[in-house]
Amino acid sequence: MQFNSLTYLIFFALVLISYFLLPHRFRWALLLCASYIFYMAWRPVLIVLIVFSTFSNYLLARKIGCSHNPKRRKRLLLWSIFINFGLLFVFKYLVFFNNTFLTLFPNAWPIHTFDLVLPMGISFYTFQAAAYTIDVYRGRIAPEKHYGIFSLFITFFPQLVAGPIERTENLLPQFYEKHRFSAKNLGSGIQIMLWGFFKKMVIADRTAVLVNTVYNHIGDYGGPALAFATLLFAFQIYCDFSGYSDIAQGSARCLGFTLMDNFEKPYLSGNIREFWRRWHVSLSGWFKDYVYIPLGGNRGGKLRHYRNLFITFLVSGLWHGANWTFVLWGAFHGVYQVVDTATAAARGRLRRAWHLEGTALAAFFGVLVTFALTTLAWVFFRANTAADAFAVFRALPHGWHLLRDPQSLYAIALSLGLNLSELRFLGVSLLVLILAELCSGRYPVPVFLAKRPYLVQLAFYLLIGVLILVGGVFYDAGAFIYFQF
Amino acid sequence: MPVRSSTSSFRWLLRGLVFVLLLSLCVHFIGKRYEQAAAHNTINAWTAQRYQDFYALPENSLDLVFLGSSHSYCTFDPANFTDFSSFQMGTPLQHPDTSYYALQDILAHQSPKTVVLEVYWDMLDDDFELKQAASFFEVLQNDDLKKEYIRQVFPLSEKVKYKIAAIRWQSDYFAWQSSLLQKDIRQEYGVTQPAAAAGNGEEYYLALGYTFCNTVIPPDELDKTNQFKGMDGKDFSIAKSQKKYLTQIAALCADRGIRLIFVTAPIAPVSLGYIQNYGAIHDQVAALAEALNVPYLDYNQVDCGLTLENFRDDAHLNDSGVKILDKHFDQWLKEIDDGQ
Repeated sequence: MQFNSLTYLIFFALVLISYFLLPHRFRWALLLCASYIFYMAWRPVLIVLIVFSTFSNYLLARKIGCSHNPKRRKRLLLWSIFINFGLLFVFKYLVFFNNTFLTLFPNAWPIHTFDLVLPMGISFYTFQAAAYTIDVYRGRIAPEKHYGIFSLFITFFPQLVAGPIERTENLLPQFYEKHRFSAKNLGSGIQIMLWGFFKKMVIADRTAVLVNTVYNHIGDYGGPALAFATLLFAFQIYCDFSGYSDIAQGSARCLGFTLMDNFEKPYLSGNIREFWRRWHVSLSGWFKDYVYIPLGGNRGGKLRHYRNLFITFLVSGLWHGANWTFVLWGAFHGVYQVVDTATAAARGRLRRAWHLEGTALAAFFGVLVTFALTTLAWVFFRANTAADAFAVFRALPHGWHLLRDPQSLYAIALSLGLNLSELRFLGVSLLVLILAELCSGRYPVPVFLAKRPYLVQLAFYLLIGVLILVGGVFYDAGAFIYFQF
Repeated sequence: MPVRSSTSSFRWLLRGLVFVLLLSLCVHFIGKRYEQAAAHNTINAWTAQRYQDFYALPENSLDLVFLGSSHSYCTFDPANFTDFSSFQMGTPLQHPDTSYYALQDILAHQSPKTVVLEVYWDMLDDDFELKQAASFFEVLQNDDLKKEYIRQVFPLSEKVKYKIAAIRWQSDYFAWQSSLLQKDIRQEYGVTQPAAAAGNGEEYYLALGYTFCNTVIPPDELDKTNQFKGMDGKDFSIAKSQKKYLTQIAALCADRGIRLIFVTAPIAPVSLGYIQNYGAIHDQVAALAEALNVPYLDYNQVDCGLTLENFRDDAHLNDSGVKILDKHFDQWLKEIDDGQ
C-alpha cells in the first residue's frame, strides 16, 4: 500500500477514526492489526517473516533481560544478531553474492542464478529490532514485557517500510501514553503530510521521468544532459525519501505520536560530516551506535579512526542495496569522510589565515562543495551498473560546447523525457521547495510555518495543495525509492 | 480548559474547511483550463472524426469491425479489404475493457459478422489506464454506456481522478502548453524541430476510421530511443481485469453469432530483436485465445515480407506496411473461411 494512493488515505482515515473512538486499552491492538493489514497489502505471505522476527527478538530480549550470566547473555545476543541479519542476508544479499560468485567463477560455482522476493521494509525492521535487542543487552533499556506492544513497536505502519528507524526509548513508551484527540495534532499532521506529498508527487515523481530516461540510455547523452540528470537525481532522492518520512511523521502526528525528524536540510550542510548528521538521521545514528563505535570509533589513533569511518560507510552503502554501485557509493562517502576528517584542522587554519572563518562566503563555499561532492556520489547510487556509473563520469566532461548552439540545446531539451511545459513546471516546483527550505532556516518547513500568521500558512498550503492536484504525477508514479531497500 | 480546547478544535476545523473550499475552487478553475487543452489534442481529433464517420454509416451495413489500440488503426485500413465492408474503430491506447464497451456501442448500430481485435501486450498488463478510457469517452455518444463503464471498470481511485478535471486533463494540458512553448522558441531563436521529433512524412485521418501515415522509422528509434530495449517477456502477465474483458468480448461475440479474431500487429523487426523471451508473451496470449476458442494470428511470428521501411516508428506500421500486411491478412481470412 503506497502512501500516495487513495487506498492509503481511506485506510488511514478509518484507522484514525477508530483509534480515537476506541478506549485506550484496545488501541494498541487496532494499530497492530492496521499495521499488519498495511504490510500484507503488498504481499500477504511475507507477514510470516516479520512475525518471526518480532517473536524471536521479543523472546531473546526477555531472556537476556532475565539472565545474569554474561556468557549466556552474549550467546542470546548473538542469536538475535544471527536471526536479524540472517534474514536480511538471505532475502536481500544471497542472490547478489551468488551472482557475484557466478560471474567470478562461471565454471566452478555450482549454484545457478535464482530469484528471491525482497520483503518490503526488511532493511528497516530488522535494524530496528536488532537495535532493541542490543540496547537490552547493553542494559540501556529493559526488555518489553507486552508482546503486543512490542510487535507494534516493530511494525508501526507509518514507519514500517521506509523508516525512520526509531529507537526504543523514543517510540515504545508512546504506545503506553493515552492520546486524546487533538485538532491541533490533526491539523499539523495533515500539514506535514501535505508537504511530504508535494515533495513526492510533484518533484520526486516528475524528476524520476527525466532521470530514468537519461540513466537508462547513458550512451545516448553527453555531459550536459548527464550532469542535469544527476543534479535532478539529487533532488529526486531527497524529495522521495524525505517526502516519505514527512508523510510517515504526519500520519503518526495525527494519531498523537511523535516520530523523529529524519532529514534536516542535508543539502545546506557545510561539510560531509555535517551532511551525514542531517541526511537519513535515523540510519546514520544506527550505524554510529552499532557499527562505528563498536569498531572503536575515533579511538586508537588516526589510521584506526579512518579505517572505522571507511568500514562504516562501506557497510552503509551495502545496506542501501545489493549491487556493487551501492558499495561504491558507500566507499565514495567513506573516502569523503576520511579526507574531511583528515583535513578539517588544516582547512580551519586556512580559513583563519584568509580571515574567512565564520564568514558567509566560507559557509556558501562549504555548502556548494558539499552539495557537489554528494551529487557526484549519487551517480553510483542511481546508475544501473558500476560500468554505467563510470561511463557517466567519462562522458561528463564532454559535449558542453553544444550549449552554445541554440539548435543543439533545443534538441537536448526535447530528448530528456519531459516535455518543455513539464520541465517548466518542475522548475517552478523546485523553486518553491528551495525557497521554502531556505526561508525556514534550521526548522522543518511545517514547523517554521506553524509560527507564521494564519494567512501565510493558508497561502503556502493552498499553493502546494494546488501544485499537487494540478501537477502531481498520478499515473505511472514510481514506488518510493527506499521501498527497494 | 475544555472550553479552550473546544474553541481550538473549532478553529482548526474552520481552518480546514476554508482550506478545502479554497483548494476546491482553485483546482476547479484550473481544471477547466486544462479541459480546454484536450480539444487541441490531434489524436483525439482523429478519434472524434472516426466516430463521427461511424455514427453516420447506414445501420447494419458493416461485415467486419476492427478494434484495438493505435496498433489497430495504424495496421488495418478498411479500404484494403474489397470483398466485405469494414470499419476501423480503434482508439488510442485502447485496452480490452474499453474494447468491450466500444463493441457494445458498435453492436447497437451495426451487425458485423466478424470482429478483429488487435491484442497488443502493452494494453494487457494494466489493470486500468485512465487516458485510454478518457479518449474513448470523448467520442462515445451513449451516456448510459459511459456511466456503466465508469461504474464497472473504473477502480475507486480512478473514479476520483476522473472527476477531478485537473488530474484527468493534466497530460493534455502539458502537451499543449509544450507545443506552444516549442513554437515560441522556434520563432524566437530560429531553431528547427529536431529530425526525430519532426518526422519525415505526414499523418492524417483518411477514411473509414483509418489513419494514414507515410513516415519511415527515424534512425533514433532503431537504437537510441527504442522503447523495447531491455524488455523481457518473462516479466509479462495478462492483468486479471483485462483477461476478464477479453472473456466478456468473446462471450458477447459468441452470443451474437459473431466471429471474433485476435491479431497482434507487428512491431519493427529491430524492436523485436530487443525483446528477450518474446515467446513467453506470445504463449500467454495464444493460450488465452485457445481457451476462448478464438483464432489468433501473431504478426510478430509471421513473415509477410515487412521490412524496416514499412514502419513509421518502433511499434507501428506506415501505409506501405499496412498495404502488405492487409493483403496477407485478407488472404488469411479467406483461408480460415475456406477451412470452416
